[in-house]
Amino acid sequence: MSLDHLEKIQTLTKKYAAYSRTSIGLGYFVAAGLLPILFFAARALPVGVVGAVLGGLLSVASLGLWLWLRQYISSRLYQGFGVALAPKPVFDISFVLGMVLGALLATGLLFLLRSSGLMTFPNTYVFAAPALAIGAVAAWRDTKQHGDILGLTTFLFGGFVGGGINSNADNLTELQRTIQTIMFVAAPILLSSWGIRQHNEFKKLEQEFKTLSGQP
Amino acid sequence: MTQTLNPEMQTLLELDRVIHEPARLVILTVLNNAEEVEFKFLETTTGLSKGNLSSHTSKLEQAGYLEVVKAFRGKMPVTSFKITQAGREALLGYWTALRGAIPS
Repeated sequence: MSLDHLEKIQTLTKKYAAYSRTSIGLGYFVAAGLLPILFFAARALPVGVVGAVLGGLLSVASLGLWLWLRQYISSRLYQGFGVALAPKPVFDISFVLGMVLGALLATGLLFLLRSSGLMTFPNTYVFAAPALAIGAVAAWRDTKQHGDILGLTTFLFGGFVGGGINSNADNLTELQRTIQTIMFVAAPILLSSWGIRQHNEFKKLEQEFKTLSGQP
Repeated sequence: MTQTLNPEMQTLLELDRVIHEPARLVILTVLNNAEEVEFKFLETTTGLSKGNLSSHTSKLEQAGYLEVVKAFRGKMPVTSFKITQAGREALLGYWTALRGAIPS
């Protein structure tokens, strides 16, 4: 056994443990599939309290579904050599407080914009904001990866803002609506290719592990 | 007559024998890079047989360098390992001592 061998084990373990915990890879592929569904579902929501409640439920449900699917993918695809979990960073209370504060400020700002008549958008968005923040914090606590959570939050907010506002706001031109639709259809393609690329990297990692342990 | 050992030699003689064994060094290195690791994963990375692996992990557990976690996944019992703080310190101390013993 050489030092190089030990270093190799160290590096491979770190990479494997990251996949084993979060299923970055095809987990993003699944997220890419959810994005257009969320976008068009948010578009179809009615304006008013019912829409707001449905919007909140939809945001939490989509997040929950994604987390469950991600876990399923992880156990099926990224734990073939057994479970090795990447270390969780220390619970960062300031990040959570920051998220909640940010959500409250954003919600307050949206109410002001709406009541002043500067912007027109449905209640859905306003009600969905705190729900998203809670979901985002939950997901962050689960994934412990800021990249993951940033992507996920953007993805959910994108679906709601793009979908919700697009269908109801009066101040969007037809061209703007079309651009938004194209964006929310094109984004999953990018997300998918990212996920597939990461999945292929995992396949290489798997091969390296097999070579290291002398497996065929 | 008392023979005085040079410092490098002294350091080498004082290396932690629990960690100095190659298989245990690999086990601790793996555990140091993950929060929790299953028996199966250690089996793959170390290439050790189940019996050998159990024996080495028991020695590390006795030394207080790792913690054994027994759980069930469905009806299947799963054994996992976690490095302890003492294990991390011992591993760090081992490498520090070994590097210190290498002549510059």
